Amino acid sequence: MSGFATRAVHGPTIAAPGGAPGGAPGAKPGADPSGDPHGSLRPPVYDTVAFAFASAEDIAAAFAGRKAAHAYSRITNPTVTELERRVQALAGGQGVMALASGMAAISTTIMALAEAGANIVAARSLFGNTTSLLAHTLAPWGLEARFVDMNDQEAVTAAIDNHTRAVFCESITNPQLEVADIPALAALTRKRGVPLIIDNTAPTFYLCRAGELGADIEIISSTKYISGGGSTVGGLIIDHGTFPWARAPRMAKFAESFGPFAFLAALRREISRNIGACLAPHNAYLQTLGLETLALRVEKSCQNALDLAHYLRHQPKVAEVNYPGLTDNPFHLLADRQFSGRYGGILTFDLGERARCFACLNKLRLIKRATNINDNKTLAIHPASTIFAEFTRPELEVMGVGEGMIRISTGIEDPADLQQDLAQAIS
Amino acid sequence: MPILVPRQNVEQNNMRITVNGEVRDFPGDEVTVSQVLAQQQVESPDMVAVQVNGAFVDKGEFAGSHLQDGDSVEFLYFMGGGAEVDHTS
Repeated sequence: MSGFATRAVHGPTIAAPGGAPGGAPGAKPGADPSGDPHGSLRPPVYDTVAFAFASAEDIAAAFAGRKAAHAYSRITNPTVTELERRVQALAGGQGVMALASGMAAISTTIMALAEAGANIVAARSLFGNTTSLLAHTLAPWGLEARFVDMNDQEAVTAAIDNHTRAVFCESITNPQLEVADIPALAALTRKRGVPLIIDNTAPTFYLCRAGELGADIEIISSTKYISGGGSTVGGLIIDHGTFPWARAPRMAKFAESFGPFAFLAALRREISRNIGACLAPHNAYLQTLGLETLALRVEKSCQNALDLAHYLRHQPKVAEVNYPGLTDNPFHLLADRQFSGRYGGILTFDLGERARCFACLNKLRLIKRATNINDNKTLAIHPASTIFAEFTRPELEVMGVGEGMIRISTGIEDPADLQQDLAQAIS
Repeated sequence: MPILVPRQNVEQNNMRITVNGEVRDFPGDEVTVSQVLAQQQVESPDMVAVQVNGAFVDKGEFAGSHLQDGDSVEFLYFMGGGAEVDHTS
């Protein structure tokens, strides 16, 4: 069982407290060796807040980290642990933490690593809410965000100093669709002793092996491709075990007790516990379900995106189409190298001005006007007036978000139907 | 010339290992980190950080890490539930 799709479907089943599959107490004779007492092929949802212990000594040992046990669902929960272990089986790394949203995963990671007076070197092209988190939410707490072009190695190098706590970028930016050269960035950050955080939401670990390419921490909004049907909001933090955490100022005290697992321990035992953006067990259940069909859905939506990109670029009313799958796209070769020959399920096209974009969006019949990406349904949005509405025109220009841009996130429908809907909307 | 003593007549040796601050006796004259974790009912060794005499041991080395009599082993779950100071109740 070494193939991705096989592992996605047959990941570890019910995790015992602490995560070990199998051997559930009280299992009926002849029960499935997965560990479920009834042999259920679908792990149950542990919709509970707290867990009872046999003795006061046991609960004290669990709180001290000497015993594997779930105590309180803000910190760990068996259904959430199941999702984390199944993601780890696919993405690699030394540990995974699932949280309430992709933004919870980003903010929790930044708050774990940085402090007032420090800085984060981040891509100038990022998801709008990530830029807002760094520029508007965390800045008043004394954290400086240094926005640079991630494909300008000199600019990245110049931005890093002794107070830099991480370099943060997206493997494919949304909606600019710029591709980060992850190995080149990793070589640079390792030289400077700074962790590299890659938001790998758009391609996921199915297309982009961020850890193998050099990301120290991989973040994914599991709301997108992993939930699949746009069912639930969630986020993942994956520690690839490559950064020596004793060197990170805020991780030093955890490194004394947890060594290479300092970051994961800090998240679980302090940062995430105190912030409290925990993933609901029911949401973890639905995302585990979505994870099983990830490969199928990514393949289909990538093909739909490529087909639509080819179609749109030949339409006279479309000024420009941006998709890394087009061979003349400036990021095509890099995308080819890093994303296994597929280019993601997001493309943008330019209609010149906001009014034309709104007219086009309002005529759509099948494609939904919605802000999510990587749903099973194809979605369209005008980023400048929605996700990026809080930014000024000059700021949007720097971010590469034009007034004439429409973003399409392709789903898994029949391509002819998508093409037909866009054709009548553009005309 | 050394006197050869049949093995069954040799008194069983014990290894004395301090595990998470408590002294434990292990039968025989050989014990590994994996055996200590098994004895401590650690079902998922990939979820604990282990130190032997203050030095971290890579999880890939657990089975091959042979302990000496008097060694100290500390293990902590880094992903498990609970926290040293918690205000959940």
